[in-house]
Parts: sequence; C-alpha cells; structure tokens
Amino acid sequence: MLAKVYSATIAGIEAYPIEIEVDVTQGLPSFSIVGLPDQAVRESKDRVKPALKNSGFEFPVKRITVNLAPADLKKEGPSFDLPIAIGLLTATKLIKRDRLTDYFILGELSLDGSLRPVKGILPTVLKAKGLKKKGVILPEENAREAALIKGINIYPVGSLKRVIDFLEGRIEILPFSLEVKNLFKERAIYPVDFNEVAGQEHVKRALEVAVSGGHNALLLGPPGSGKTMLAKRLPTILPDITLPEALETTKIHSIVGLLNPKEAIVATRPFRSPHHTISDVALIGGGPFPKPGEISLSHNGVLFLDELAEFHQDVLEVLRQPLEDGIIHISRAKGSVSFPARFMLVGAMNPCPCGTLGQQT
Amino acid sequence: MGKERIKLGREGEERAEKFLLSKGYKIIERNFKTSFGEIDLIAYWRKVLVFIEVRTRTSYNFGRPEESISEEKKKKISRVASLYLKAKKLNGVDCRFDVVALVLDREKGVKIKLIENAFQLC
Ligand SMILES: Nc1ncnc2c1ncn2[C@@H]1O[C@H](COP(=O)(O)OP(=O)(O)O)[C@@H](O)[C@H]1O
Ligand SMILES: [Mg+2]
Repeated sequence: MLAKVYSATIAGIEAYPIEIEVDVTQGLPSFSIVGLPDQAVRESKDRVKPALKNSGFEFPVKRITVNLAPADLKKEGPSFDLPIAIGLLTATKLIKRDRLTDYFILGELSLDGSLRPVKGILPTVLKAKGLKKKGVILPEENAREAALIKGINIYPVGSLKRVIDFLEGRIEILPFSLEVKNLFKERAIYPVDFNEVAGQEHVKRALEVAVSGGHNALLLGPPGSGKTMLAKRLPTILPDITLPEALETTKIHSIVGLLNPKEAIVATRPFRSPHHTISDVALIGGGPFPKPGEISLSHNGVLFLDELAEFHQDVLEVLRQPLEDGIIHISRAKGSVSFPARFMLVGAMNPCPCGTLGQQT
Repeated sequence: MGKERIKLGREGEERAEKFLLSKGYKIIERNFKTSFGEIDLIAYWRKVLVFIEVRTRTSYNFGRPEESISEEKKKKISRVASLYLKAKKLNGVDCRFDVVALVLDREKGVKIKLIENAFQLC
C-alpha cells in the first residue's frame, strides 16, 4: 500500500515542498530510498529501523520503497527520518492516513525514537503557510524558531510515539506560540558598546559618518590602537535592526545551523569576522548543496576582515560583485541560487609588516 | 573445500532441517542451485516463503556462526532468491531470509539458533 507524507527541503534560501511516498509490497525484504537523496538521507534507514522498534512497532518484513518527489531536486540532511517513519507506519496500516495531508512533518530520529532538531525551520514553516497547511509537526527544540511565523499551527513533539498518538487523535497538542515582539526586544541586546572606546574622537567620528552614510570603512593603525575593538562595536551604532530584517538574517543563520534554538532569532545586527585563511566558498557561499557564506551571514550587519592584507587576493576579488549588488548569485548546472548579502564591510590592517610605520621608536 | 567440511555442512543441514520442521516450517527445496550460487533450504513458514542459510561450526573459537555471513554471501543469496521467485513466478508472496546457526561441538554437544529475518535483500 502507498502512503504519502509531506515535508520540505532547503535549496538556496527557500524551502521546497517534498512528497514522501512510501510503498510497501510483498517480496524479498528490502528498504530503498530514491529521489536524489544525499548520504544523510540514505542513512535514514539505519535510524528509522531502530527508532520504530524502540517505539514499540514491528519493522515490516516487506519490500519497502521510499520515493522523495520531485525527483530532480536534491534532498539533504536527516530531517526526512520522521516523515519516512510515519509513511512506513501508514503504508502498513499501523496508523490511519486521513490527517497526513494537513501537515508538514520533519525531524531527525534518534535510535530510541526521540526527536532531534533540524536546520532551516524558518523557510520551511513559511512554505507550509504559503501552501495553506494546517500545521507543522516538528522537534520540540525547533518550536521557538518556527513560532516566529504567525498564522500557522506549530506542533512540537518529543518522540515518534507522540507524533503517532497525535495523528491518531489519541492526544491533543496545543499549538506552540510566543510573543515575537517580546522575544525580539529581549534578545536585542549587545554585550559591548561603542561608548566603551576612550578618546580616538577622530576615528569615532569617521566611523559615525560611515555608518550614517552606509559606507564601508578601512581602519589603518599600529597594533593595539583599538581597531578590532572599534570594529566589534560598530553594530551598536548602526540603526536598530528591524523585525523583518531580523527574520531575513535569522533565515540565513538557520539554514547553516548557526541558530541557537534557545535564542530562536537573530535580534541584533550580526558581526562576522572570518579568519584571513578563509576560502572563497566559505566567504561568499557555495558548495555542492550551495550554502550561504560569511557575506550572507553578515547580511544586515558588519563583515569585518581583520588583517585585511593577509587575505588571499582571489578571496578579496570575489567580494566585488556582492558588495555592489547586495546579493550573491551562485550558478549551478541546474539553475542558480541567490543569497542576500547586504553588509557593511570593515577592514583593518597595520600600515607595514612590523606595524609601526611612521611612529617614533 | 575439504571432505571434512562438506561432511560437517551436510550434518548441519540435516540437523537444521529437523529443527525447522519442529518449528513448523515446510521444506520445499534443498540446496537450490543456480550458476550464481545456492541456497541451503527454502521453506514455507505459514504463508511466508523463507530462504534459509545454514551455518555450521565445530566450536565457538572462531566467533559465532551467524557472524560468518559476509556481504558477498548475502548478495549471492539475494540473487539466487530473486531468480527463484522469477523461475517459479511467485510474485506477491511475503518473503524473508533466515539463518540457522549450528555449533557441533564434539564435547559440548549441539547448539542450534534460528535468526528470523536475518538480513535484507542486498
Ligand atoms: N581607545 C581605546 N579605548 C579603550 N580601550 C582600548 C582603546 N584602544 C585600545 N584599547 C585596548 O587595547 C586592546 C587592544 O586593542 P585592539 O582593538 O586589539 O587593537 P588592534 O586591533 O588595533 O591591534 C583592546 O582590547 C582594548 O582593551
Ligand atoms: Mg586587532
């Protein structure tokens, strides 16, 4: 029998709906996953099996085929564990199917059947809302991030067992919600402040001008003159980040798994300072499953390149286009993805290799 | 393969068959051979068609007998099983792979263990 469960995968910064079809038939026992799965998706088998057993279900001795559709979209990560498990139970009639179309279901399974958080929640919940789903069933730790989106029900669950009880109507789960404005205000605190910088009035003035006019800045001075200190405190004199900006930046941090589940939102302007050994892919984004780089992680904030002269020439070159456009396009054989990258670029360097050019020694 | 091992194998298969009968299996094939390899026993357990590999050892010294099935062996059994289903036009039956593990120790006696659904098609 065939069962269908709905979920999503992330490509670029957007979520795309994925239909998980599980077909269970008679024949030699096997378990195969098709539809461009990556390694983590393929390994899903080895998590789903023990998770089902440890949740009190027999793993079916049948020919099992899982198809992730559409087949031309690469599927990545462990978030399909839960929908695959639910599909299996539905296809073998261990649970009823009637409520499945209403939800997006996602989560990584531990071997004991409990759920682990996954990445890219924010875009997934947005997509579910766009498709007028009734709700999203997801791991508890992802609930706060998911609740940033209003107008769709968020059902946090701790284990496979709970999901089944919920789908079968044996238990009620209250949709999770939180006051986004309050959370946003609570989190909008910087650990440092620009006013901690003593003196240096001319530098501070210059930086205030740069910030007001939306310019980039280069700090040049001997070691210990406070360049790093000043740069770190720049986000605190930028205009406060707005909620829509914060959500945009949160989306990017969520996709790469940098979002702390407890904080749930990036409520301050990001400050990113990659080491000078960084590669061009890590800086502007890319990879086989294109991921945002540092320039996108600093979207709506500050990208600080300390010891600017030490960065590889070609790494600095790739900054040109996104600096002008505020967006980066990464081309792939199949279409291209774009990541927002509007940031203030701040560089710092010593005036000469020993750092003391022009000073009395 | 030495004569001793062949004899050991035969004895193991005979004991395994008796054991399976006592568990309610109905044996339908013994040593089903193809050019790819063979399956020791094919049987019905209720309505499930079971392909059975018998592993025999003389002692535990080299590990448990069921541990001696390599991926290679599983692949072979898988292929032979698929061929069998095709040849007998058996689609739409539930199937599984079982392993009967025997230890024939001259001093400590005989130990038999049945592992149902021991592995999947590979
Ligand atoms: N204007 C200043 N006001 C307060 N502390 C300063 C100032 N300039 C430098 N410092 C102190 O000196 C330390 C080293 O400065 P740093 O920013 O690392 O210098 P640089 O990056 O130019 O080498 C800082 O952590 C800070 O404690
Ligand atoms: Mg410094």
